[in-house]
Amino acid sequence: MEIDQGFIDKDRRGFIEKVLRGSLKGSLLLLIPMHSDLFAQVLNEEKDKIISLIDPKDTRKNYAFMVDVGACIGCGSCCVADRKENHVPEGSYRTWVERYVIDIYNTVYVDAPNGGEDGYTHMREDIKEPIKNAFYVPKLCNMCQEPSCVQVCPVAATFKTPDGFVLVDSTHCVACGYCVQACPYGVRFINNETHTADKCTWCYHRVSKGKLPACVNACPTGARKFGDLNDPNSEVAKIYNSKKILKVLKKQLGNEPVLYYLGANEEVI
Amino acid sequence: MELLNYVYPNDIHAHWSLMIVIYPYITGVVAGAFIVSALAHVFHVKALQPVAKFALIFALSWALFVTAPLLNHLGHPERALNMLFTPNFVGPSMMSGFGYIYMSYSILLIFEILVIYRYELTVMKQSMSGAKRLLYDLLTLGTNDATQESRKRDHKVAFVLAAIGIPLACTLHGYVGFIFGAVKSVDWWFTPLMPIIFLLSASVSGIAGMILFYIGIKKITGKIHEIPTETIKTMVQLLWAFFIFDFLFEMIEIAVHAYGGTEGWHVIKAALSGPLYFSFWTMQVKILSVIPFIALMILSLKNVSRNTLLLVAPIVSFMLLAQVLFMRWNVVIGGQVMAKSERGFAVFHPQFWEKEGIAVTIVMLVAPIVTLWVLSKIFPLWESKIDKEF
Amino acid sequence: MFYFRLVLLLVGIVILIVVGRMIFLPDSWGQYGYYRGAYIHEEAAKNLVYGTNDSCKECHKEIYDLKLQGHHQRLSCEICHAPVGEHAQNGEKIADMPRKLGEPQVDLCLKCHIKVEGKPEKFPVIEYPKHLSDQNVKVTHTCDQCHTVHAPLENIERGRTKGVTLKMEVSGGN
Ligand code: HEC
Ligand code: HEC
Ligand code: HEC
Ligand code: HEC
Repeated sequence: MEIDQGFIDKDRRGFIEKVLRGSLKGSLLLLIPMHSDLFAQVLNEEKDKIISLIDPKDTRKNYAFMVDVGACIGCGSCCVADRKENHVPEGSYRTWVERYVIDIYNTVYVDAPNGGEDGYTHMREDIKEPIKNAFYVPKLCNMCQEPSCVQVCPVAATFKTPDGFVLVDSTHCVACGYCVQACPYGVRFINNETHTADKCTWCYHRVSKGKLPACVNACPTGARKFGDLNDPNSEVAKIYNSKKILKVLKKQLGNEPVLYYLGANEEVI
Repeated sequence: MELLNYVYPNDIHAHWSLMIVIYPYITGVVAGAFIVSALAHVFHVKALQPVAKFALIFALSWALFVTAPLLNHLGHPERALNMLFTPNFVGPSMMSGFGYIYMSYSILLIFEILVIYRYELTVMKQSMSGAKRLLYDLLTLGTNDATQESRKRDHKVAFVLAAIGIPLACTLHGYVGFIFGAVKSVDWWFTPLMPIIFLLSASVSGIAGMILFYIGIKKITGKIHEIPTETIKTMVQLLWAFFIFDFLFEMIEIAVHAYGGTEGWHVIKAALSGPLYFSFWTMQVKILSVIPFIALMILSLKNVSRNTLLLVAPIVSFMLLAQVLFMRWNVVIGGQVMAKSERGFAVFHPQFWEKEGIAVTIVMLVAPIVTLWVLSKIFPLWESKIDKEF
Repeated sequence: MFYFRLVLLLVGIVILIVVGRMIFLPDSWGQYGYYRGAYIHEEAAKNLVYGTNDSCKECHKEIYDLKLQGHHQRLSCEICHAPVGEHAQNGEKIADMPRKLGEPQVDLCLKCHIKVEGKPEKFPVIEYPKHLSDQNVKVTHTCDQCHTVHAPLENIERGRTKGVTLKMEVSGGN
């Protein structure tokens, strides 16, 4: 596959132009390799052509997703983008954003009306006590290295690709719902249009064409980050290899998620 | 931690419906009834001989409907055979084995019935003609061997099949328990006691079902005097024995959670004193366990009169059948109500008229009874003269 | 005889399953692992709906450049508008985009900028409608009357509006 390099800021071209004009202060971005724009306009490319480009056996990459809790503004753009990109029916969520509010007595209030998709535009008026801390936590598939959903699927319709993505074969799934029960993170649901299990794929169809997942592309503040841990120049690898404290959800279950949370409090589950 | 009712948006409504409640229920009745017949055929418990054949047909009538709720629940029932063609033994998935175990068990059950009834049907069909004869020919696989040697052989084979059947029936239902017990993301399910509890409650529901239907059928057909007291007494004692352990383990499970203060305990506790209070404490434990427990104790230990026995035993059996149904509800629905967010409860409101609603559930629970009636027209349910003279 | 036929029956069932499996096992089963390998390619071949900001550049260069100079440089065009796939395909415009020149913009901006609990400290938020009264304008003013949407501080210098813009200077299109 040609588009081999890491993912970089979506406005990279423009940035580089600006760097050349000397207007950008941190020219760090120059270090980030360019990805080919081969697919910049591909929307309805001939399928066969794309198919032949993908090699799922290519395990040189080690994709990881990172959520910077401190950067999320709870606008819900990611959820809107995800719903359109993946044709997710109303009432089901491949990704959502939770709002955590912690008062001074350490009571944790969590809500996610409509999965946070409409953005959080109202204060929580039901909280009487002074608030100590509040933040937004985007949730999506954890792409576990030991996925319990894959383990329980009776017909092997859901599986982990050699390059680490957990997918659901919607032509083979019988929709028993066992995986929905088994997923500790509640990211699975039965799609009421296809009547099969469905979940976030980290936009496998975009990633395999060298694009960022739709939610990462949509995020205005960089709270969602996606990249290759094997590429030392990628943003995720830099964070991963830094002193910053990363957290995975429900670690005690041993699912070994590859979705890392940067700056997530203890209260986040 | 206080629960302030936040549930992951995909989990707001429980997904596994009434269908998944009655699926282990039906499987349980099947497994339990088979155990009674096995006690008669393998361990030669004399008192159970009169219901040995009934137990098999009773088991079959329910076994035929094990898959019905599952198929109705599946989003793609037409792909159900994927379960056999591409079972996920690599995972390995607990559910994938169910297809094979259920199939082996059904085959075994049907073979056992064909073997046990072979001689009787062969004798019966001699005086038949037309379609009925064809049916009986089919059931005897077109053979006409009515010699005594063949009967001896039947008995040996039936013994072997029943002997294989006991572990298989246990596997069948212990397995269903394991389907739940292996889900680590739901604390209410994730316990090694789950298969044991399922197995024991299966036996309870199977034996209780048999007592109820045995006495019921005899009563309706006006042949209640034919029931040997000894048979009912033995079944009641058996029921009590299984129920002691069933109830014990159900309580141990809670006790371990509560005493150990396990990770999920705060959610379980909140659910048991909230949305599950009525179905768990009030129904499953207080009304439908304690009362039958005492009643069974008295029936088993005291020398009660035959009339009391025949009156109380079916009532207690009915209560225990309900107890097991509530237990299935509390496991299946309860496990989903205790949401994975660990901060609230999901909701489950079954509708009467919907694909997996109450109406369909009732139909599926009545269908085996109708089937039993149909099967009774084909297979003589009770010990016949032919059996006795052998 | 009976048992011979019984065994035959059993063998028949087993053969049925084996044959059934042979017939129904998908072709690419086991290609990469114990699952239908072709699905990976099917999933990967799904059409994109969203592009990147680069996909707008060709046709809306001016706005693209304008946006990169302002504080909204990190924003994706498509979250304020709509996926490119619904608007332009194969170099042709196929349908209108939501949010045209002249429509009042308040809700869109508030979705991100309104002050509610949980916003990161560094993120610029406003209290609504206090922000408007602070600027000494009627609370019916829309955000895009002072802020150019694509570069929101374009017209604002040292905390003061450079004169109410009313409309954007830069027009879209080619
Ligand atoms: C193939 C070229 C092309 C591409 C690519 C394209 N547009 Fe357009 N767009 C047009 C044309 C042509 C018009 C009509 C221009 C006019 O009337 O001035 C237009 C109009 C618009 C309008 C005004 C509303 C309307 O529908 O008339 C908006 C908003 C817009 N485009 C946004 C975008 C965004 C955002 C992107 C990138 C995601 C984009 N466009 C990509 C060609 C394109
Ligand atoms: C999808 C979220 C989003 C939407 C919608 C949005 N903005 Fe912004 N806005 C941002 C982000 C992100 C920044 C950059 C913040 C930073 O520099 O840290 C920003 C920056 C700004 C700033 C500069 C503030 C400063 O002091 O740096 C202004 C003013 C602004 N936006 C106004 C608007 C207006 C007016 C609208 C409506 C047309 C709007 N925004 C819509 C996300 C959004
Ligand atoms: C009358 C003109 C006017 C209108 C209308 C207006 N703003 Fe502003 N806005 C300003 C000015 C002037 C500033 C800079 C003030 C400052 O730095 O304190 C500003 C600053 C901002 C900032 C940055 C605040 C910060 O603390 O850095 C945001 C965000 C913003 N506006 C959003 C909005 C939104 C959203 C609306 C629509 C509800 C809106 N504005 C309407 C004039 C306006
Ligand atoms: C903060 C949200 C936001 C973002 C990000 C944004 N737009 Fe817009 N855009 C608007 C709004 C709002 C309008 C309507 C104009 C107005 O109200 O002043 C608009 C109008 C337009 C128009 C029509 C203007 C005209 O003159 O007809 C075009 C074309 C356009 N945008 C293209 C883009 C492109 C290309 C990008 C990405 C580089 C982009 N927009 C990013 C909010 C946004």
